Amino acid sequence: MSKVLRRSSLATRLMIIVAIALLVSSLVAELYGAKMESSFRDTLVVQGPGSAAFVAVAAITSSGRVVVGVEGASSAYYVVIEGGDPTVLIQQFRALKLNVTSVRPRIDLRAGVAYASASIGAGPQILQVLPFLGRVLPVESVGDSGSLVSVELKTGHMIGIVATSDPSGIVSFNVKYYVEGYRRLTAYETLAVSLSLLVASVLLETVRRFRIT
Amino acid sequence: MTRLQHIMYIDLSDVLRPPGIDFLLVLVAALGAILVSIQPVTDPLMASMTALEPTLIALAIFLALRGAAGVTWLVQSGVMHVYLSYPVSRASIALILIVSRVIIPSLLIMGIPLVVVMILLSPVFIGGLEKVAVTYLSYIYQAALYGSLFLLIALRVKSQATSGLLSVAVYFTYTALHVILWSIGRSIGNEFLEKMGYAMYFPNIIYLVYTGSDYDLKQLFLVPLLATFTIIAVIYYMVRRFETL
Repeated sequence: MSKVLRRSSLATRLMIIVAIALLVSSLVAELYGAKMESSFRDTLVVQGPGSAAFVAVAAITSSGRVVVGVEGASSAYYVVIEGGDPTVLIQQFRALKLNVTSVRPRIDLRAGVAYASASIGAGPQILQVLPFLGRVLPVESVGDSGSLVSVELKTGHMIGIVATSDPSGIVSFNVKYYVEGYRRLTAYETLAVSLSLLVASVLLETVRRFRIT
Repeated sequence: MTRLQHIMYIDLSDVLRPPGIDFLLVLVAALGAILVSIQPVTDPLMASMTALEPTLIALAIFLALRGAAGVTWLVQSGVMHVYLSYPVSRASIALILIVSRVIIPSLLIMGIPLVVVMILLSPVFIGGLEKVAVTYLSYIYQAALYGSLFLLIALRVKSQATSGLLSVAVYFTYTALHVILWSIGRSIGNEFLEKMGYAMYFPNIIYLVYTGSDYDLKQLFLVPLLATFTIIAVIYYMVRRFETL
């Protein structure tokens, strides 16, 4: 192997390297590649009339559309924040002494998205905090089935939703995230590019040696 | 072929000799491509940084062990003595060492993973080539700073093992210092310290530029200035102080 590489030109070696790297990464991508959809569901018990439920969704590496369904809420508001991490945001609420409980963070690396939900004991106070993060908008109500919000998230952006509970005291969030704007070469396309590079490297090396001799 | 081209060719052949660099390139290129395949990276800036971040660590170690420490072998084996006996200036030889042992390996080792990622994610990269080029350049500046610093250490200590160890230690110290200064600046509220600590890693500033975040002009010039300063220091040391064994 070493002898073959030593006799080859740098261009040939680089073409072989690119071809092997493409093949290896394509194989891994086929087995454990990126997902184009992700979901997160959480039901929070909200204690007392002044309490609220909170969920945040951040597009860490991807971008796409997030659709959040809220059930059991008397009112809900959302804010889109440029940058940030859902778990860190909840820690900041905790630092503001907003009585944060039942924190559930989850990162879906294969969809490039992070979620976190929490029950917040100080509902009115968190609604006062939200305008400092961005423009606060009310979540539309959709019949009896609950409220729905659908937002486009760019890479690094985050949506935070605060829902105050109805008398039942239980708020459910049903989050669906659809990745948009991501496409990589398929396994066949990658195989075709790799084989082309390997054939080109053999041809290049043959021509080079023929010219030398 | 002129004398300078001849020296450059010999030196470059030594640095890029197979199979070490070939295996390194396959590993970093495959790693970069895997990282952008297992997560849906939709931004060209983010995709190139995801691929180049681990590559820079591998490149720094390569520059320390093969690039710079290799110079000490040139000194010990007498090859450097032969170079210096040629009718070419010491400054030219220093420049050749910088180009063949720092710049070209950096361009190659940072470039191949980027090419692989760009082929794999070609639909994502279309329209973001300017961002990718600037990001690539920022990593090259960072690598040039590390590489020229390692070269200076190698020319000074003239021992392969010592040079390699010292270079790796300097690299990790620099990386730690960047985090420490930034953290201290943040915790004591010293904006200058925080900004300079952050700017010690040039790709960070390029990220701020492209994401529309606040940055200072002095942050943008810190690493390029440091790299230029260390390159001048290598040339100065070679011309004024360097002696073969």
